[in-house]
Amino acid sequence: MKKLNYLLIALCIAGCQAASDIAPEATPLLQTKASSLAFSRTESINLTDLDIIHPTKIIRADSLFVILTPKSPYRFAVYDTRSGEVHRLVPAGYGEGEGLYYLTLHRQGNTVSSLDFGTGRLVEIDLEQCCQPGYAPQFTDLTTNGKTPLGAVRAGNRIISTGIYTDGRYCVSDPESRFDQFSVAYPDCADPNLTDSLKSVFYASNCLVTNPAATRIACANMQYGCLDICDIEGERLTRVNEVHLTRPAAVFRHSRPAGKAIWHPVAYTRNNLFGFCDLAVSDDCIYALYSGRTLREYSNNVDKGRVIFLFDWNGAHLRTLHIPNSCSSITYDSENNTLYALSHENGQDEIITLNL
Amino acid sequence: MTKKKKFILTGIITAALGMLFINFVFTPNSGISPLAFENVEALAQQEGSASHSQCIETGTICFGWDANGHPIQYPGLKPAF
Repeated sequence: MKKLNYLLIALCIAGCQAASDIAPEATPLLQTKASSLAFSRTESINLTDLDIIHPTKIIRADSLFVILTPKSPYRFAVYDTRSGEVHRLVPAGYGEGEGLYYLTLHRQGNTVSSLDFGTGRLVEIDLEQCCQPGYAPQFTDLTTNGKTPLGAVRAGNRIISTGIYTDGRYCVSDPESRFDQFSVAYPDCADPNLTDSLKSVFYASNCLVTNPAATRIACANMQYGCLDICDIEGERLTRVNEVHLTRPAAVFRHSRPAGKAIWHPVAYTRNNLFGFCDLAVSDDCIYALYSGRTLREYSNNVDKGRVIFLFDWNGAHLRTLHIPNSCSSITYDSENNTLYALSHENGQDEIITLNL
Repeated sequence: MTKKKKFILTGIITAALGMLFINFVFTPNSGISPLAFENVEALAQQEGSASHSQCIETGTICFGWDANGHPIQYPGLKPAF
């Protein structure tokens, strides 16, 4: 009878234990070299008042803000802080001079670029001319040689892209000669048994940036926290470091389900910790806006965050900045050492100024 | 063993088993571990129509293949269930 009692007690303890939480653990970098960063309310720019609807990304360049508005009839807005004028660029559509789906913005010199992952065309906006009447951005088709690009940036005469690639994670292209050179294996976080095709889907959503000298590229995954840094050496890239903040929680499907018209090979569980929302760069460091949120808790606001990690261009963590507002984008102005962030609080879309 | 003891014993066993059942059923994502590489029936049941309504609205890319093996991509995120 005594043994039976012990068994019953053990059963009770097992039954009463707290439900296990299989969500990946938050990265310890959240609390490492961490400090808080405030912003001045008087320096904020209310985009809603400027009739800039559903902005998702921003780039600061001198007195201009280039703003990605992926749901608007025009996909980009350029706000001139000096004149107060707003210029609209790239009407929505599949046609010539039009654009469909954009995810990120990148600035290299006097050009802001963004890949239309719906049509595979890179749009480049000349900051010196974009406010002139009749200005039209330049489009470059990256679907040559059967490629499916999902993210791209220009580095000098070449364009570096990621996409559904199986010969390497990155492709360096010269659009004029239609030359393509693939390089760098996919990061090691996922199961090594995954095909490169599945890995390319798994790593589909990225924010790509180069350093100002265009000698290094950083690729931050949005759906989980992987930061990949590579050297740009002519037509080839060489990995410098890959930083994994958390372990991804994804479900893979290896084959098409019978009778299904469209199938999705990679899906994310509701406990998956989202990764990077946006990157901004300086000569010395990478500013990485981090989500760390789960679908379960934040639903479709997982693509925003209140944390900025600073890494050097070797991928070493320097600092962690906690910001008061939920933001979807950051941009760095080297002239006055200032970060600007696109804030979404209380139904207001604002650009806030974060003095470092 | 008296009837009273049997009654108490049965009650305790039933309660323990009940708690085990509740724990198993309501554990978040029970049965799906990170990087699960098996086919998931829940996925299959949701898929099939040529619509991106399977993806929720976030600032990422929802990627799939159509019946002819062509890639299709649109803004969104494919949740596991």
